[in-house]
Amino acid sequence: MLNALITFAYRAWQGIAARFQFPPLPKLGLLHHLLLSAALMFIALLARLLIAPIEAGWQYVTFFPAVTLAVIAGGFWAGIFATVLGVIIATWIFIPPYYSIALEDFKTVMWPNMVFLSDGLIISFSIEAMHRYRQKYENELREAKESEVRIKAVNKELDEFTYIASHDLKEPLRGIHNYASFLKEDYSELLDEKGLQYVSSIQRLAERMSSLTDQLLAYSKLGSTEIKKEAVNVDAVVDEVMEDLRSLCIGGIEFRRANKLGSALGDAVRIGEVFQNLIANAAKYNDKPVKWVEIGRDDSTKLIPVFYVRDNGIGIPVQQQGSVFRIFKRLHEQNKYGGGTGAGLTIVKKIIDRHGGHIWLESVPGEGTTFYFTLSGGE
Amino acid sequence: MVSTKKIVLVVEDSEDDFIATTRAFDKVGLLNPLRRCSNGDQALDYLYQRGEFSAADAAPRPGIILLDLNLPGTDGREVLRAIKTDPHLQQIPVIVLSTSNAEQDVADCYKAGANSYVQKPINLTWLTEVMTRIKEYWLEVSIMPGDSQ
Repeated sequence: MLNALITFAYRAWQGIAARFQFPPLPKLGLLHHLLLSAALMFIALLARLLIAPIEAGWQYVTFFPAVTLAVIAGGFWAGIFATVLGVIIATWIFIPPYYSIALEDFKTVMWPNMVFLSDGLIISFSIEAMHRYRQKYENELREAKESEVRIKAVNKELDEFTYIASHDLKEPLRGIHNYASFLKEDYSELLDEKGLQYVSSIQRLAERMSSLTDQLLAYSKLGSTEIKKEAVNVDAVVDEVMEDLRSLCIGGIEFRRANKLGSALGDAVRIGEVFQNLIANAAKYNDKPVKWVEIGRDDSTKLIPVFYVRDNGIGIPVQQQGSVFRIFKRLHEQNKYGGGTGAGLTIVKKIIDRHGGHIWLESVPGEGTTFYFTLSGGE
Repeated sequence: MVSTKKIVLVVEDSEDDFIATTRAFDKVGLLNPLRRCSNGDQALDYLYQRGEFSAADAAPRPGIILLDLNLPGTDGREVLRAIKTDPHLQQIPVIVLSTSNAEQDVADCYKAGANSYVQKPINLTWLTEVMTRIKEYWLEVSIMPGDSQ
C-alpha cells in the first residue's frame, strides 16, 4: 500500500516535473527505497507518539519493526537509512533536552543507541543476505526448468530425426536386397559358387541392416510415445509373455515362478516387452545341460517392488556388465546364441527409464545372471 | 471369377521399388495391365483424367490402386483422402503399401478409408508372397463393383 502510494507520488511528481521542465528525478530505485524508509520511520514515529508520552523513554520501540519492514521492502541501504534516521529522530525528540539535537545528547543514551544501531545493521545485513540467497535459488530453479524444457525438445528432435533417417535408409536397402535377388535369379548360371555366396552375403547384410533400423525405429518411438501409468497385473503380463515365448519353441528350458509378482503401476504392454526381452535373453544365453529361468519379486527392501529374472546361463564378465545396455553392443559374435541385433537390453532400459525406475544386474560368469528392475523411483 | 481386365494402378515414386513390384507381379502370374504414376499429382491427374491424361483413352479407370505413402510433392495420404472423398472414385479399393508400420500411419490410413495396409517387405521372396495374396484376395476372391454386370 505504502509502496504504491510512494510510486504514485513519484509518478505524479515526474509528471509535474516534466510539465514545468524541472531537472529529471533520479531513477525509481534506490531513491524510491529511501523514500519508503523515511515514510515507514514517520509512521513508526506517529505510532510511538500515540502509545506513550514523549518522556516515557521507549524511544526505539516502534522503530525496530519499521527498520525490518524497510529492509524487506527496500533492501540493505533502505534498512541502514532507516536506522540512521531512527537514531536522529530519537535523539531529537525523545532524549532530553527534547526537540534539540547535539552530540552531547547522543552520549547520554549511548547504550540504547548502540543496541538500535547494531540491530539495524544486523537486520539489514541478514534480511538482504536471505533475500539474495533466495533469489539465487530461484534463478537456479528457473535455469534448471529451462534446461529441462530444452533437453526435452532436443530429445524429441533426436527421436524424430532417428525415425525419419531410419525410414529413408530402408528404401535403398530394399533396393540393394532386391537387386541381389535379381542377380541370383537371372544370372545364377553365370556365377560360380563363390559369386553366389557373395550375393547371398549382400542379402544377409541388407536384412541385418533392415532389422537394425527397425530396432532404431522402435527405440526412437519409445522416446516420443506416452507411457501409461495404470495398475498392472504383473503375473498376467508374464503369463502372456511366457505363452508367446513357448510358441516360439524355446524348448528344453524350465521356467520357474518364485512367487506372486503382484501388481505395479505402469504400462502393461511395455512391462511385457521388458519381461519378454529379459526372459528371451535368459533362455538364449545358456549352455547348461539343464537350463532354467526364474522370475520373481524381491520384497526384501519393502519400499518398492523389485522384479527379477534369474538364469543359470553363461553369465556376464564384470568388465562387460556396464556396456550391456548400450545400443547394438553385442557381447558375442553374431552367429552365436541365436544372434540378435543387440538392441533388446537398450530398449528394456529405456522403458524402465521412462517409468522412472532402475535396472541393474548381478552376474557370475559361468554360473548365471540376475537382472533386477523397479518401475518407479521409490520416492 | 478371375478378372484379368482390371487395371492395376501402382503409385510409386521409387523406380527400384516399382521394378521389384512388377517382377513380383510377373512371378505370381498377374496378367492384369499395370499402370504406374510416380508421384501424387500424377496419380490425381490420372484418376481425374486431366493434364497429361486428358485424352479419352489415356487413363482407363483402375480396378485397384496400390498406393505408396511417402511420395514427393502431394503425399500418398492426400491422394488417399482425395480418392475416398470423391463419390466417383471412392469405390476403387486402395491398398496402401508403405515402408512405415507406425501406428499413426496405419490408423490414419484406415480412417481415411484405405481398404488394406501392407508393409513393404525388404525381401523379394516376401514381396512375392505379398503380391500373391493381393492377387488372390483382391482380384480373385473379392467381388468388386461392376463385376456382376
